[in-house]
Amino acid sequence: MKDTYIFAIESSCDETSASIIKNGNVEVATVVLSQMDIHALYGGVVPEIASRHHIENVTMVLEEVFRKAEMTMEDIDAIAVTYGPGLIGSLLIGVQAAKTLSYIYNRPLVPVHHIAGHIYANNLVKPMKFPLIALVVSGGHTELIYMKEDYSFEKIGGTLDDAVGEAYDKVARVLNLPYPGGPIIEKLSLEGKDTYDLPIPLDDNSYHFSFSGLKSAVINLVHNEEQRGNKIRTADLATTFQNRCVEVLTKKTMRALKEYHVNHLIIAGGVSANQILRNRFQELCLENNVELTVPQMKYCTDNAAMIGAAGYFAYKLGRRADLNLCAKATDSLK
Amino acid sequence: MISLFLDTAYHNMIVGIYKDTEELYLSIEENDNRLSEKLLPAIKRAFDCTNLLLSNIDRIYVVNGPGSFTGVRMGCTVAKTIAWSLEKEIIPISELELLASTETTQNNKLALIDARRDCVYAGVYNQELGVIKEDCYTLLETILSNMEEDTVMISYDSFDFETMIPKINIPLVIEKHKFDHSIDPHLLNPNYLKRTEAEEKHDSTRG
Repeated sequence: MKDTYIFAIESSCDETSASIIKNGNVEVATVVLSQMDIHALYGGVVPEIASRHHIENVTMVLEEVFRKAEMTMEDIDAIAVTYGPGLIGSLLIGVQAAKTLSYIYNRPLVPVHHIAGHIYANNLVKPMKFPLIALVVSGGHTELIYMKEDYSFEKIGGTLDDAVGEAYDKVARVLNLPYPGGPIIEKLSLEGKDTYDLPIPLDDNSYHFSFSGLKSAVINLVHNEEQRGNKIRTADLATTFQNRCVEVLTKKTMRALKEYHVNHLIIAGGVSANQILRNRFQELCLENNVELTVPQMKYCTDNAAMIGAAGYFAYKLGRRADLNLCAKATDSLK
Repeated sequence: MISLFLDTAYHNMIVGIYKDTEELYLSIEENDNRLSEKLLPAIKRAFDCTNLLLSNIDRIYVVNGPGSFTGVRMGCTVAKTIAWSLEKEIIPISELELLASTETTQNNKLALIDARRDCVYAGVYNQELGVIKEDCYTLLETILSNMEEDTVMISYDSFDFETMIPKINIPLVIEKHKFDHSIDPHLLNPNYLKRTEAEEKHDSTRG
């Protein structure tokens, strides 16, 4: 059977990325240009600065991926692009570039939801087996999704306020740690002990999450200790905060697997790079005879390879957009 | 020489196709918040109507600012993607110069775009679109106090003084730039004339 090549573009936040994916599971070439160092100066992503860098980089990234793949647009079957959700000014650059190429080369345009991309990053590790539960954890998302087949997304729970990655960033800021908060809190937590009194957030029978309360508890704790003249034990607080996050994420996910009679779990999104979270899921999945798939580290943060993987299945299912395609800052996964 | 002319920077979405300075197609629509949706279909319409292909053009004139940050980026993204992938020439054009292309006066022309907070994007051009004062981001008061009396002011925005509504003259702009050398498409970027607020605040706190 003829191979299918998807050319994918991702620009939903602060990474400009392009990729060529063969048959939904082989990465031919990917280029990711991250702006993380630039936004670190401001303590978080500044949308207008992100948009400005996307447009400066976009054609260079496109050129580089074709050079790496030793391919041309003529070899491409379809163009996949992240249309949302994300920062609207950032998304627009990728969407306009994708629409332009689709028009010039008369190739089908396939719109891809950013979270579908994170989920399908796992298909680049091994073929996804259905039914499955996907836990999507990132700076913008904390969602539990039941998939009975390709491109069937049933959201069974999600955050009611802050995403887990967002809570990491905000806690890091309170502790005067650099952006992004996840990696540094994870690193510090290895040196600390779980000694602070922090609640398990939204520890109930639902599949929803809430990290705003936990974040506020950390902020209040820091202020109270400062007022009393006590020094914050940063590593201990990082350990305690991380343990609460990991506990609630693993607890609700394992319950979902049981209640939905599913024995395949995939983890997706930037926070899936957290080794403590990975290790805990590995232990629990082993105990409960659940097959666990986690994306390679390079696919945890935003990248176009995952959009190409998701785009392949969307393309095969006949999903198309025309030149009117609009970027969307918010959109549900469907 | 066949040229595609694109302007999405400010008041209008303009898509034109020109043979030298002869207009083959021109569409001018007032910009709304659906620019990103409408731009590519408008370009497709232009080529369908003229029975031309994008590959038939020799160069792209694209307005790269100043104006709406997002608007400028839409036109520039499309233009640089076409120029890069089809290896076409690309020439950046100032939105203020386009405003000043009105033919109705022999006086110098001050083109103005309201940049809010008492500031404007401003540029002064003569009848042939020669630059008298480079495009800048400045206090309105400052630019007005430095203007010669007979300068004609042109803008789509409303100010407390009389401005002419621009009657843009794209052939005049193309004529002026016909011998310009193309720039590298990768380096075709918006000319915002203004840094982001985050950058300004960051620098001011660092002294």
